[in-house]
Formats: sequence, C-alpha cells, structure tokens
Amino acid sequence: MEPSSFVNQIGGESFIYVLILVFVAFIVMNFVDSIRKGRRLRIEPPHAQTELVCPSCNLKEVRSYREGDFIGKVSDENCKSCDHTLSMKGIYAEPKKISSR
Amino acid sequence: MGGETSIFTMIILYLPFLFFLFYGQKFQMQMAMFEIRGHLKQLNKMRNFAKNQTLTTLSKAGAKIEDAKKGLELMLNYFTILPESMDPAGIVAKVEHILDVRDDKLIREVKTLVPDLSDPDARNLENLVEATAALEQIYKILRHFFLLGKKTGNIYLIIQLQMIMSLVMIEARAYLSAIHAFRNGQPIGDGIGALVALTMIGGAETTEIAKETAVAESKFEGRKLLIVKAVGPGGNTGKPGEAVKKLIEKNKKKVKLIVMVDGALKLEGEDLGDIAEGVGAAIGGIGVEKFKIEEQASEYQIPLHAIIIKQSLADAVSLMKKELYDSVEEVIDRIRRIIRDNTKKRQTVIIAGIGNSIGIAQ
Repeated sequence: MEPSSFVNQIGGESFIYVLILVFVAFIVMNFVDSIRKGRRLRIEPPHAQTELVCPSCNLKEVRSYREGDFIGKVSDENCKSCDHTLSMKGIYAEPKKISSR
Repeated sequence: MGGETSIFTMIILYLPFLFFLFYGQKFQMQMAMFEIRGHLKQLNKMRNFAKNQTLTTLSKAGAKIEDAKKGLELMLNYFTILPESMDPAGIVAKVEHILDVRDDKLIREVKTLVPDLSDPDARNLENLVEATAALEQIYKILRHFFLLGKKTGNIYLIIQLQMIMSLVMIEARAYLSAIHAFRNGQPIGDGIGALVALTMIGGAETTEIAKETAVAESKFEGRKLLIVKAVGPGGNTGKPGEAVKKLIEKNKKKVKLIVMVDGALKLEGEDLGDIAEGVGAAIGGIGVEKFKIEEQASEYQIPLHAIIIKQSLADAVSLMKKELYDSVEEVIDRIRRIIRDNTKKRQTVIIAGIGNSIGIAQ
C-alpha cells in the first residue's frame, strides 16, 4: 500500500467510521459506568481497637474492641505486669474501609 | 476510496451534526439523568442499610419489630420549625427552647419503644436515628429535584443536580460511616474535644453543672482548672455554653481565661489530626451555646482561646481515627502553654472540651 493511499483511507470514510465507533463506545461506557455506580456499594465496618492502660505501672495493651467498651471504663482485665485493673484509655480505628467503588 | 465520498458517508457525517444541533441539550439531559439515577440508587441503598441497622438495634434492645418500624418512620419524618426572625431580639432563647423540646421528644420516643433502655443507650439510639434521618433527607431532597427536573424537562435543574452530586455523595457516605459508630456506642472524631477534657480530668471527681454537662476541678502549676465536657458515654453534646455561664457566675472575677477545644472541618489537602490555635468560641451547632459563651466572655472581659483538631466530615461522624487519638497529648501540651502564657498562679481557667461524648465517659 502506498503511503498516500493509506493517509487517504484514514482521512476518508474509514476515519469517519472510526470516529463514530469511538463516539458510540464512549456513550456505552458512560452508561455502563452509571449502571455499575448504582450497583456497587460495599459497606464494611472499620476495625475498632481498644487501648488499655495500667494506672499503676502505665503498661499499655491494645486489643480488638468488644461490645460495651468505652473510654474511661475500668476494665475487668488485669495488668500482665503488676496485676492492677486496667482502664480504657482510647478506642480508635485503623484506616477506613468504607468504599462505594 | 480515492477521495470521492458516497452519499451514505455524507449522511453518516452530517446526521450526528444535525442530531446534536437540534437534540443536543436533550441528549445531554438524558446522560445527566442517567448518572443521577445511578447515584440515587446508591443513596437508596444507603438509607435502606441505615434503616435496617437502626431497626435491628431497636429490636435487639427489646422493641417489638412492628412498633420499631412505626416508631422509626415517625422519627425519620420529624421536622423542626425554627422561630421567626423578623424581630431577632431574644431569638437565641427561643431557638434553644425549640431545640430542647425536639431533643426531649426524640429521647422520649426512643424510650417509648424500649422502656428499659439506660440513658446512654437511649442517647446512642437517638444519634443513630438522627444519622438515618440525615440519609433519608438527602435521598428525599435529591429525588425531589430529580423528579421535578424530569417532569418539567428542565435541563438546568438536572445539570445543577449532576454538578453537586459528587459533593452530596461525600456527605452521604459520611453519614453512612456514622451508622456503625452510633450503633456500637463507639467514640467518633467529633468527640476529640471531649477526649482531651477527659484526659485532663484524669481521675478527678465530676459534677453535673448543666443539662448533661459535667465539670471537674483540677490543678495545674498553681492555677485552678475547671474542665467541662458533655456527660458520656452516651452520645450527646451537652450544654457547654450554659456550663461556662454558670462557672463564670460562680467564680466571679477569678476566671481569667477560657480555652475551648473542638474538632473542625479540614480543607482538602490538610492532614487529619492537624492542630491549629486561634481565638474565639470553638463550637459548632446552631449557635445557641456559642452565643452564651461569647456573651459571658465579653461581659467579664475574659480572653477566649481556641484549639481545633482538623478532620473531614466523614472523620467527624465515624469511629475515631488513630491520627486523631494521637493528637490528644499535643493538644494538652498546647493548652498548658496557653495557660502559662496568659494566666498567673491562683487564677482560674475554664477548659471546655466540645464535642459528642459518645463512647467517652468522665
């Protein structure tokens, strides 16, 4: 194929067809994306952790959150170092896990 | 192929041009409507999820499922009519009264559904209902404008809706993430002020000075500290304005400084947990408590300092992030520096830890 006829072909009818094809593909992709947006919704609760501290020896302990935990509560767990009762100093989450993608 | 264009190609070439000339706007409107419909579907899923979680929590607490459904529908559709502001004199007291009535009504409604519920659990459930109601409202308002735009064929209404949709979705996702925290009674980002106050209180004894607001007395380098926070671990913000007012009246001329600590919305690009200092009353809400604090501070000429901890709306209403928790010690250091710089020994300082005390006792 001569270069001039190739350019002619690209610049002629084929180019128009390709343009239309791209346009239609763009519209279809847009519609499909909108449909998928409506369907995708993942809801995962964040992983909560409770930080306990010993008021006697200041030993810190981090464990998974349990129902009924709140900051300032005196826990029924004892310090591994001095056997003193632990208090809940903090409850927090590691990186968020709620996404809608 | 050599340059001659067939009649078919001419039609193919000009047809889209003519189509977009006459039907371009309608096509654009359909595309926008399609996108909005997708977002509305997602919002509908969010509000249904929130409703189901609330119903499950209510029934787990002891409410009958049918009663819970009816009660929840009733609470989701509650509205508040704020006072007339044509004559603004005395409007703060009126707004406060209306909000108190609303608050009491919601709590009473929750307790009607689950009579044996403890106060903190009732507060947490009320917070859960409010987050669900926020999602319900967002969905209903967006659906209203979508249907109105569709009905009237108003492209400008639809395009405006499409433009704000991404911002509204961020807000909706924030309320969705609040559901887990409120359901489990876990501390939220907005509670950072309350957590700072609790850490400063240490083990000191607290008394209830205003409705659901506690105060504790502590000492720091010869100064008397009066630390205020909302009563926890139930989800409530208390009445810090009323508490500060009473403390100033009780300790006339002795209070030489007020330091307020609160979470504040960060700008995009700022880091979660960034701390900033300033002056003024650091407190959100409709303005009643802010008004009271400002009024007292100006009447007695007490300097009003503020420390804010930056976070997004999603961070503020969902389980407290580690970054926020880690900022507590630095905030306390800054409070101590402000106290040292602005007061002398034997003077009194009020420290108000503002925010929702869900999951944070005193």
